[in-house]
Amino acid sequence: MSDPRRYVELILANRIFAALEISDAAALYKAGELLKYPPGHTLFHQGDEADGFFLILSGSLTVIGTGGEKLATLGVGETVGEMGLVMAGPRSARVATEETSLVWYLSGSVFEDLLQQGDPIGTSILRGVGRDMCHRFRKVVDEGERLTIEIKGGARSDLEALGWDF
Amino acid sequence: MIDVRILDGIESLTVLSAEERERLSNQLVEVHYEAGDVLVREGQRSPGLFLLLSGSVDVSKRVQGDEQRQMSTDIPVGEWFGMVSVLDGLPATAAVAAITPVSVASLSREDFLKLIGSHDPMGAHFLRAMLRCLALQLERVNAALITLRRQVEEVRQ
Repeated sequence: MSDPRRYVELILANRIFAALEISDAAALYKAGELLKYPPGHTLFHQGDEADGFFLILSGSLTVIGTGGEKLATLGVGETVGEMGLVMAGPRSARVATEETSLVWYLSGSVFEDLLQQGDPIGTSILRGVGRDMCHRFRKVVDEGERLTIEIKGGARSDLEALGWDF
Repeated sequence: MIDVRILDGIESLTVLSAEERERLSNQLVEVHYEAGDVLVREGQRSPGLFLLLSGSVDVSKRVQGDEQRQMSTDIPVGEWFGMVSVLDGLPATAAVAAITPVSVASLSREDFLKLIGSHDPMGAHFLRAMLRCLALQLERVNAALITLRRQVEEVRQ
C-alpha cells in the first residue's frame, strides 16, 4: 500500500532533508519515483556511474564489497548513494535489496534541474549532505586523536612521523 | 575582489562556468598575512572560507588540549580550508597559521551563507565545489585513520 504522507515523513526524518519545509518535502517526494524490488535485486554495481540516490521506505538494503562480503545493512529511512550528488564518478560499492523493498529514488537529472533553477530545495539537500560529511569528518578526527595518544603518547615528532594528515 | 584569472587556474572551481567564476571573484577578498599570523583558531568558529594563493600555512591540532602535543600537516597552494566549521557552524577542529608571508582569497562565513541562501544557481554550484573539496579531505583523513588503526592493533599485540 502506498502511503505518501508516511513517505514524506520518512524523508523529513532523514538528516539530509531535516531543514526542508513539509511542503518542500512533499514537492520533492513527487519529483522522485517509487521503486519496488524483490529480494536480491541490485540497485547499482560498484563502478556504475553515479546517478541519483535512494531512500528506503520499507525493507532493507545491503552494501556489498568486491569480494561479496557484506559491508553494511541499511534500513527504513536511511539513504544510499547521496555522495553521487556531490561527486560525479563511479559508485564505490554494490547495493542490493536484502528482502522485498520499497525505495524512493531521486534521479541525478531531477536534482541537477533543481540546482540549475536556483531552487532552494536543491541547496538545502546539498547542505544536508554537507552536514553529514562534516559530522563524519569530526568523528574521524576524534578517533584519530584517541588512537594517536594510545600509540605514541603524543610527542610532536612522533605524531608527525605517523603521517596523520587530518 | 580578486583577479578572475587566478580563479580560472583553481582546479576545484573548474565546475563553475566562466561567468560564475567572474561573479565569484567579485565576492572574494584577497588578504595578506605575515608569518606567525593565525587565520583559524582551534576551538573557535572559522571566520570564513580561505583559498590559499601563495605562501605556506601550518595546520595543527592540540592533542587532548595540550599545546605541546600537536598533530600537524600543511595545505598545498590552490586548496581551500575552513569549510567544515563554516558548513556546520561548530568550532574549528584545528588551527591554521601562516609560517611564511601568505596570501589568501577569503569569503566570510556571512557572505558564504548569503550566497548559498540566494536563489542564484552559482551559490549551489559553489557549495557543491566546496563539498567536493571536503570529500577529498574526508578521503584523506579516512585513509590516515585506517593506517592508525593498523598501528594500534600492532601496539596492542
